[in-house]
Amino acid sequence: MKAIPKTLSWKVLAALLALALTAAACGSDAETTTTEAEVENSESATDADDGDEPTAEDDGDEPTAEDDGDEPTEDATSSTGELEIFSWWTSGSEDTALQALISAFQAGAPNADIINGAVSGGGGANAQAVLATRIQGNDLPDTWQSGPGGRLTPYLEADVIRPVTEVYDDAGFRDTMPAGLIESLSVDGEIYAVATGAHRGNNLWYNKALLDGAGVDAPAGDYTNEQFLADLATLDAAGVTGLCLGANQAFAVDELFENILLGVVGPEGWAALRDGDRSWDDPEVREAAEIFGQVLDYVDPDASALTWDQAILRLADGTCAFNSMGDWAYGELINSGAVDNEDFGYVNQPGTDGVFMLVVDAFVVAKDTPNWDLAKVWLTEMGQPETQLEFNIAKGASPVRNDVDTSALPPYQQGAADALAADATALSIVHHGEPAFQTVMSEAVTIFAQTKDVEQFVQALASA
Amino acid sequence: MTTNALPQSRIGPQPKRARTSLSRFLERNGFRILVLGPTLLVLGIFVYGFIAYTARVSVSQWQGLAVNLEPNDPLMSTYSEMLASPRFQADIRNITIFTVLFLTLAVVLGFVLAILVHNSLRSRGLFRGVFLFPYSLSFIVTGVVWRWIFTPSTGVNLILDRLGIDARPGWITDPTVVGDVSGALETVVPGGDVINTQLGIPLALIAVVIAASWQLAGFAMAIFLAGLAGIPEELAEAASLDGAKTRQYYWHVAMPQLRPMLVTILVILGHVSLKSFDLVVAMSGRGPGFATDVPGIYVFEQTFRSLSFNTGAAASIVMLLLVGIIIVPYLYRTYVGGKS
Repeated sequence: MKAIPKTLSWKVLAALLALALTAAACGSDAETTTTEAEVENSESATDADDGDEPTAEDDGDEPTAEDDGDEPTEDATSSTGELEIFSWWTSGSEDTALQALISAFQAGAPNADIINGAVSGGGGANAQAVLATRIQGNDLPDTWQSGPGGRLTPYLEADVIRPVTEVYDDAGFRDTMPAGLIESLSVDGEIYAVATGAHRGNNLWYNKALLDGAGVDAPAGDYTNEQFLADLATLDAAGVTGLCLGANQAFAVDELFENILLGVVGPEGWAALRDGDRSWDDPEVREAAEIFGQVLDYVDPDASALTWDQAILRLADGTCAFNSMGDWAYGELINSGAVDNEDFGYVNQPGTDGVFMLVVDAFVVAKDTPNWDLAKVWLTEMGQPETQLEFNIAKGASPVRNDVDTSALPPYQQGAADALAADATALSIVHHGEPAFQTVMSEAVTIFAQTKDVEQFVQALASA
Repeated sequence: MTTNALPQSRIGPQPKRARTSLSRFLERNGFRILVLGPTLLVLGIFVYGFIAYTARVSVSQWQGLAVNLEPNDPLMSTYSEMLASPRFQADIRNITIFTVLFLTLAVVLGFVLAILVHNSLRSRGLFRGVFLFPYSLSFIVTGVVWRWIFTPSTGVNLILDRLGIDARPGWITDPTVVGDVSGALETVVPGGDVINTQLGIPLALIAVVIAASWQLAGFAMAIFLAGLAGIPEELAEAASLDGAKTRQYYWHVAMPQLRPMLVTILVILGHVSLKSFDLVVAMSGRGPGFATDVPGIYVFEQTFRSLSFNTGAAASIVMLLLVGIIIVPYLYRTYVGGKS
């Protein structure tokens, strides 16, 4: 065997080093690369627009936000053109639901094309990262998936979305959609989005056999935190793990705290905390933190290794008894073969009877879209009763209109739809908080789950 | 322009002074310029240009979707707040401990595998492939599988159970931090109360170290194998004539020969380790009480969840400095120290 000449080996090493340095400098993840690419793309697109005379070939281009939005586009009235919709709905049932919206749009605007710019992964985290870079590159889709409350704030601050109030007026949505929901989509008297459906966040799911076995009565509507803690203790004494939790994902733990907090402060207190009318350094927030800490004592020891869907499946297979999770868990339970009201039951999170924790998907429209007429069709069709029904059957959520015939929905969703029309509403912070506060709360929850230090926890929230 | 203007010309043979002209220069260096130019340009813009931009963002007030490069007041406040946060302190602790443990395990495993494969009489190619194979898998895929393996009640603990071993480690669910020295540091170091996290070894991290070592030990093995193949056989013969046993040969003869390989492995795996993101995200996420949180996850969450672009950029710069700690001495050694 021959030795590699020393000079050659150093050259190889130098080459490897250059590679390593490049990789090191390229930043922590692929997102940076995306940023660069996106910026590059949008810049070159802009250059082309500036430099070239407009030609007849232009229809091949994606609509850019560079065009002056005020000028009506040539064929606006006959509703031709392309509408780019952006969402993170790519999985089976989500995609089916999205297709329901798309076919409704196509019925309303038969000559228009739709570009489905869905980005998969991370429960929307990837899509939101892509969207953030597209906004900075001034390459916005015409309409994109967002939510109420704090989800709108960054877009309003960056001044990239437009009011859609006229859609509500023209289509008569104001009379058929819950006032609390419309309010959560509004800022300064203008409405900025149309909701596709509403999930309920404050559900407490339980395994009926485990509760029976331990001699615990199935919880009813007036379930309180005291009873909940007592039941967890009874289950524990019977050798049953009380609480399933998908703590591998931070949001599942955050959501448990959020639901407990809603049960303590009630819908008015919730709104006051959200709006900043009430400090987070509040006796009731402390009380909620105490309860949260006690509940965490009964958590499945495997929790940190489980995602939310694995946690709810553990409830279905009888590993642990309770799980606090939004009603997207219902589909997981049914798909696992568990039977509603036989294998599992559900109740509102203790103390939250008559309150509907809103987790809402809604679409906003780019401020400078050249396709506002198409976007109007998109939003109007989205709010029609048939579209709402078809979408929500697939998505497992509730139609946000009160005049939808819900008899075609599964029993759980019928109940949720009725509750949405009747109950007080509270807007989820975990899902619809201001991004910066959401992150602070999530970090505080992660630390509190270990330290159980109420004072530190409350101060972290209050100083955010 | 004369050829002497470019330092590169020192590498090639010195041109005769008589014919210093542009054409002469291009004839000499045209190919180098042609080959290196585009690379330097692209590197300059997309690496160094964006590093500079990231540094700029890190001292700005940019939070939210609208770009805001207004300088922060005080300028470094993003850094001071970030460095004081318990989470980022835990991240720095985690990545340091992770890197040390991971490099040790991957190098030792890689070296042992390399010796075994190098000396295997048959199927050497097969084993080389087998051990290198994990390196070709995506971290996201292996992360999910390792998360299943390290789920206490359903994973590897079942094997321990069957073997009659009583220990039931919590693996990635274990929030314990052992050997916390932050209390001691606070009494020794003046102003030591800036430490807001437990400075010890988070046990949950060990599972991640095992997973990462499994995946990358094959890479270390491949480099060591190349090194072993390059050791002249005369050395082995001479050693055996001098009565060296196999163990002695590897320790005293082969190991010194493999030092350049070792340095290469440490540099490459070291910076991979410092930039860990995908494996940890898929496997344990933040971990209980940020026990497995790493700066990469922090950057992503601050930038795209919290939309705090300045904090995300500041954390990226800290990561770059950490990588620099590994790369710069290596560069120095290669281009300055290596000459001697």
